[in-house]
Amino acid sequence: MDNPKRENSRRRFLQMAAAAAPAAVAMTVAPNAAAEVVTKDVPKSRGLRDTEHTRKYFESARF
Amino acid sequence: MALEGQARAKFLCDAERCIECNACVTACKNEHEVPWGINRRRVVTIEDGKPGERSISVACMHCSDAPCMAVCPVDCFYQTEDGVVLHSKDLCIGCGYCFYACPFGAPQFPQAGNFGSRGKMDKCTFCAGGPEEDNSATEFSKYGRNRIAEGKLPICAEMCSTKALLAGDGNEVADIYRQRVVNRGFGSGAWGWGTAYEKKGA
Repeated sequence: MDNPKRENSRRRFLQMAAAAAPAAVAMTVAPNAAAEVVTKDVPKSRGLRDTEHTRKYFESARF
Repeated sequence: MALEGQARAKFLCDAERCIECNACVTACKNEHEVPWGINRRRVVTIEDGKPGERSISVACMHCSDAPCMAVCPVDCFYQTEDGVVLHSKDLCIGCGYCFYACPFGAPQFPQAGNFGSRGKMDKCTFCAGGPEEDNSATEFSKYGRNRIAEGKLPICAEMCSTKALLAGDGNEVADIYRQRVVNRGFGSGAWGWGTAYEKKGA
């Protein structure tokens, strides 16, 4: 009485769902991990430097 | 000037010299094209029009142990090797916690939308930009000009006509201020000294 064709397709769907779930989790976690790396790497600037410009400024402030 | 990784970027406002001209405020707004309603720097005057009147220029003081960093729920702040406190506008959610935590009222919020939404936080960057590539168009549009990467110092201090506002390497700034105290020949010259030590007129 059962339709074997229908049962087969349902089984295949469940197999696909089981395989797809971990992949979906990995997809959602991966962007977060990438964002975390970006935030920790941000300070790339060279920072304060001793230049002719800064020396002139400090000299102008000494009065 | 020996930086050697030990220097910290510092602001210092000499209250004996500040004449409340607001040039620092104007220069900052112009340099960074700061939008309407946001002031990264302000001049505060105490005892206005009375004896003992003093003005100080206030912005983000780039605290060593910054309370804004401590309270941020999305951890959008970071500190550079020079001690400059910066933040990422991509991560900021505009919650306003940093504003409540900051003793200087430094974090500013544009009125971005309806229903009181604040928009991304904006504050003084010590003219050091943000997490984007140095001197890129993206960095400028979000955080303003990166003068530190250009080998310069904050525009507010460089523009100050009386050199009341000092900025740069903490050792250098302290050295200049120390020399001024010696030349004046009284106390530390720090505003609030008399109040703190109960010496009227000091």
